[in-house]
Amino acid sequence: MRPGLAGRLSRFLVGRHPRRWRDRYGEEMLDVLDQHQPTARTVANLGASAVSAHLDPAYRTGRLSLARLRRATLVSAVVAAPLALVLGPIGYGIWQDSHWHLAADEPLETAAFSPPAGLMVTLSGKPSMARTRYGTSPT
Amino acid sequence: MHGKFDELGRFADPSLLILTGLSDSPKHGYAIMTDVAAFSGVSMEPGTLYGALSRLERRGWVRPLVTEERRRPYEITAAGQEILAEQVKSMQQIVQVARLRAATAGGA
Repeated sequence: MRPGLAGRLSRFLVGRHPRRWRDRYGEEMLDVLDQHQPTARTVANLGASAVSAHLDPAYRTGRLSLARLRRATLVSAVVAAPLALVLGPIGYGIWQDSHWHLAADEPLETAAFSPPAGLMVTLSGKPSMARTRYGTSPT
Repeated sequence: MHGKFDELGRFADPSLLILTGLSDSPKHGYAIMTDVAAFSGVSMEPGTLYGALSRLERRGWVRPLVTEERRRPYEITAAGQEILAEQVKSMQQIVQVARLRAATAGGA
């Protein structure tokens, strides 16, 4: 996410906190954002903070009507969807790199781990192609 | 680890870091974030910082000071110092047991 966009979204989300919260912490949070380098993580964090503050009885203003709940859900979805599109593939890539997995056409017959579980040995289930594979364990 | 700290839920760890950050002198929001990052390596985001600060304030463990422009410094209270000391003591016990068991396991 571009820093300019993250900064604008962060400020927008400070404004989505309950009024009592904004009266108390709004200016301070904006001051922190002036000095901080907002990222996608900042945006997600402020989104969660806004939802949490709306659920906090100390800052909740009035009753949570269906219309307000619908609006809050819509705003959260608009913010979360692009984040999921960007962060999802990155997270999946990191997960794949950190976990061993067999190819779809290699049925597993035997698997063994070295004592510290740092190395895995597998034997393919295909009789004609039985062989040993080495890879890192899922730990 | 500590009952009163457990009540803070997901804000327990950030609260411990904030109380530690304030234990030597009052600091405003951004100064807390940079101090916490310097001594713990934890990069705290603004939503987490103010979520934890509001809970600490409600429990009387920190108090806000007079705002300087848009910056409001916070200071730890006597009750905050007390709860921090209790929490540190509890963590020291855990570290002691962990060291002992790791040494025993290493020697086995």
